[in-house]
Amino acid sequence: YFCFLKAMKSLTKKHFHAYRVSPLCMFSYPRLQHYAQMLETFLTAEVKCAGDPTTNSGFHTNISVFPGLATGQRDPEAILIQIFCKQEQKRPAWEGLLCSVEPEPSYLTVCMPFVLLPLLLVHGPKKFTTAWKTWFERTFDCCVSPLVIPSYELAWMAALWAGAMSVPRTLDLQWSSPPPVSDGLHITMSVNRNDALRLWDCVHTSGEEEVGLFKQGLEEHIFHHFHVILDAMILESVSSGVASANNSGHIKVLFHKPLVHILVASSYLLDILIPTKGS
Amino acid sequence: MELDAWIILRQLIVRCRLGQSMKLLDSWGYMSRKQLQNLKRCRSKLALVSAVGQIAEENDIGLQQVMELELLYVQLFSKQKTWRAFKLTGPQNLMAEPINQERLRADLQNKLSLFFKSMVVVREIQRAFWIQISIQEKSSKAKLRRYTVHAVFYPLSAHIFLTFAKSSAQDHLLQVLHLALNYRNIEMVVLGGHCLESLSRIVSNEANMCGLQNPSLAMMSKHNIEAETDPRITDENKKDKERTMALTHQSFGNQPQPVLEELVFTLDTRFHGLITIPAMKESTDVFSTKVRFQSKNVLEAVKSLGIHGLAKTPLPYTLRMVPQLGRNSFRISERKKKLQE
Repeated sequence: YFCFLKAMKSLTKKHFHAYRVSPLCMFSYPRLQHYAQMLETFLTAEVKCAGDPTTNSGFHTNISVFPGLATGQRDPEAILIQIFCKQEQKRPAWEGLLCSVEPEPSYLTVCMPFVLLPLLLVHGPKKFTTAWKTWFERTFDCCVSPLVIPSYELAWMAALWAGAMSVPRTLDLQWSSPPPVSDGLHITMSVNRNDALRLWDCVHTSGEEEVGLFKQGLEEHIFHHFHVILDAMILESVSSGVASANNSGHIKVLFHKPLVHILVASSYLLDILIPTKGS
Repeated sequence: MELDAWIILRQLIVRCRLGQSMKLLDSWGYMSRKQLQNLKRCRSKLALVSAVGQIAEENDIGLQQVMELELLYVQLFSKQKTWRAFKLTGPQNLMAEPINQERLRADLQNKLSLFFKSMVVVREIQRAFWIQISIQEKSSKAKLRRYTVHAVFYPLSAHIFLTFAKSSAQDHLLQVLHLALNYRNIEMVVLGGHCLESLSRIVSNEANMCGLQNPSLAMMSKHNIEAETDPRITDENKKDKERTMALTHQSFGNQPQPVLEELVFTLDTRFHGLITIPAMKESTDVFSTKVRFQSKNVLEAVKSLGIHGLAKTPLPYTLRMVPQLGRNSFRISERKKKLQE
């Protein structure tokens, strides 16, 4: 249990960038050590080709099973990929987590040589992400593309987090104006934690679509004061005492308890979203 | 040349581009024309740093002079700093001579010596007094640390703009500043931003021109719409658009808006989304929220909201009258009677 708790805590308070991954061809769990060696060789070769003098000290990679995320009956085990620079062995320079947490049933219909790990969370420099992506796509004949979180889904996350906030922090929602507005305008609304909770409780009693109402209520409140139509703008980011997310796929979880729920929500997005270019 | 002076000088040159460094050194006034001509031959920053160091050694330039260069740097790149406005009230001794750069420096230095170990530099640039105050303080490890506060005083508007100062030093600084500038009191104005020119325009009421003063502006806007419209597009809401344009011009005028980066509204009102969530009607408590409008030029962005259909015109008073109100932070609360009901 402590191992599981430690593993979950290692994922908190870090900025992750979410990606969607198509099914992996010929992926085998017993061969994780071999994949780690392959990745290490690939990265060393890449650095030599690029002739980058800052990273000539070599790498060490680790690919292992991440415990506790396969909550569904048919969920495959999550995979943790870590890249260490040889100068600093303790802290990974780059981390990637491949998982499948209770995906939608339509995703489960994958034939045998394929393994389904559709959600990838990445933490680390972009140059490592690019290199890892090239190796991964070539090795498992798959496609990795950024996950974009639309406004409605962000509003859904904000409403859920408003009801689950245990830390005295404001619930922040940020909208951005569409391109024609000169210089770009960002409108940030910070709602007091207790007031957000009170609003969420009132929305619960209405019996209609709760999440939509929560967002619309806040937008109507702003319209009353400033005459600004937030519904016509893009909900760019939401953050609370539980977690934060923005529409370009950045996710940060502050506590380990809601982590699984957030991953379930992200997995749900994979199914409802239209694939982005390249996927 | 002292080590401190040399370090500041080197940092300033490294921070600027070559052309900007030359402009800065030229306006500094501590180098002869011949020396400046020689500096122009330097092709790299490294060469310029060593050449300037050599000239500074020859001309016996000290810390005070280098700090003047630092002040000129801040004046050139004033948009890198966040400025907060303060209003000076109760002018004293109206018959006294107008403020003089050298006297102001000596006066500030004298008064500040009561509170801190500090160094003051003053320069008059374009009818404003630019002041740099470097305060030395002892850190926990008994090392001396220096931090700098910049101030710009506009004598005509009786306002002073300050960069961030530590809260422990701010009261003393404000006290010294208003005494040295011959005023009885100093008050904070809830106005801040990066563009000093715009802030000074707002406090001196120069940015308060709006369409009401010029009735022809509404007509001008009408002509502008006609000129910009593509003849192939049939505009069904032409009347609405014309009305929105007229209202926008009436509220904001035809002049470019002063540059502000942020408007902050603290809302202490009841919840007003009752059409969507009627269950909140029963709750009489305040629904506390803070709303920030942020942009490179927030007033221009707010002005264009109505035109692009993102807001209903006319915009509320607090959004369209920011230059007239002379502040960019507001607290909106319900009238007391309403709350008691």
